[in-house]
Amino acid sequence: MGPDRKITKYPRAATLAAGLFWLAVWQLAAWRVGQKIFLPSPLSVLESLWQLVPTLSFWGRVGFSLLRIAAGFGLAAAVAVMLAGLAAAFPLAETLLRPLMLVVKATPVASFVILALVWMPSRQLSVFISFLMVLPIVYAATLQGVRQTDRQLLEMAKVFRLSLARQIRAIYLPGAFPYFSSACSAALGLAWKSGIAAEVIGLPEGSLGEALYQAKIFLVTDEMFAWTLTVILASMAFEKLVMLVLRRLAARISGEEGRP
Amino acid sequence: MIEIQGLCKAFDGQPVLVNWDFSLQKGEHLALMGPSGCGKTTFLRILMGLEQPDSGHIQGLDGLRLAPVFQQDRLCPGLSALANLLLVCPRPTARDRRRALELLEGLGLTETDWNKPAAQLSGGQRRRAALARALLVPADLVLLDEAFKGLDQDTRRQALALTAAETAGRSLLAVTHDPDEAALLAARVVQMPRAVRPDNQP
Repeated sequence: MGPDRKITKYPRAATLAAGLFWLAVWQLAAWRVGQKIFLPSPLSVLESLWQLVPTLSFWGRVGFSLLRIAAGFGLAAAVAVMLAGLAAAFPLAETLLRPLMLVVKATPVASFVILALVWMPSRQLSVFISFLMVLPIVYAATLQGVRQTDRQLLEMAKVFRLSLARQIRAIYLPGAFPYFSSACSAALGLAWKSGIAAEVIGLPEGSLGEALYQAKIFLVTDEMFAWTLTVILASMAFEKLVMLVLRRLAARISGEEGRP
Repeated sequence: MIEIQGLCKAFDGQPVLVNWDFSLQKGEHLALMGPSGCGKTTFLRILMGLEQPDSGHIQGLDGLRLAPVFQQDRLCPGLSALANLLLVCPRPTARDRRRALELLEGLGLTETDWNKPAAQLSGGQRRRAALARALLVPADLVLLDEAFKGLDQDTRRQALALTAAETAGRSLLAVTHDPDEAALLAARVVQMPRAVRPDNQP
């Protein structure tokens, strides 16, 4: 059995091994640099995280950022679905929304952050920024999903005079959901990246972004890495949770709906 | 009674229906036969309101409830066969469910089959579920577009008998290539030639 076959046979073990390999590279690089301030070792980062985890402020910061980024993401997903439905039904709405979505998509996060700081308190910044980053992605994908809906099924619905509610439940939803779901998956990481970036610029008190910035100001590099690791872990946990909910919903749409 | 006069339809300048005259009495069973591409499906689609004719007069279709079996099964793939049937009942009652099960059973589908998502059914099972769906609806006009194609001999005979019994008293228009099927289902057979002429009505 060649190495390629082993990788396909044990994908988890292969991923773990790859992770360990890069940790070793990091450790070697840290030894080589020899200065914690420039590149702390993985062990010193873990040690720093170990000290942070039992503190109340650590969990306070995680909760602060998580709640806001999740709120921004959830709001964006809900608004995107509504707007996609509107755009699919009324071409005028789609025409009106097109330039708006293009501008939102093309504008740098930093520009939005600076603008948003003029309009709102920094505490709500990450909600707004995550919302703006997620909205165009989920909107475009959901609209595409609605447009790809099986025409033959829609014709069937027309001849059998199915109500709009039934058409949405039985035809549009199962057709568009995979598009919505994969867009959510792609946008999750972006919500976190942009949300934390907004916090680093706006410095809302008690946020993960503020902690990252403070660690940088005081040149506590291992703590900066520890906060970054926290963001990665929180983002991964949130992604797992959202994907679990989406999988459940998908099963409900395609499976349970199957039962009369 | 449905009365159609001088129906014309062309696609990209190619005439499909030319001055097509047609009539169907209330409760009449009629089979429409003709070579492939002569416009039978286009005609059914016009009756269903899925295509607009270029010209011609159509009378007697307004307000009629239609129950089609398309050439494709057009079942919602994630829904079970039974759920697909109940989907077309405006407010499914216990009676609708009982009737749906009777129809599915009558067409040889078992309990295991009707609870499976349509995507997991075989082509023949899906065909029968699509037929059962059309028979379930209390329609004024049942439209069958090669509804029995692809069914094996026994199943086809069973499906034809059930269709004839279930559509008694309702109007039925069946597009078919099979003269036996036409004879079994319909009291009148209309041949539709390619580039339809108006003189094909009896």
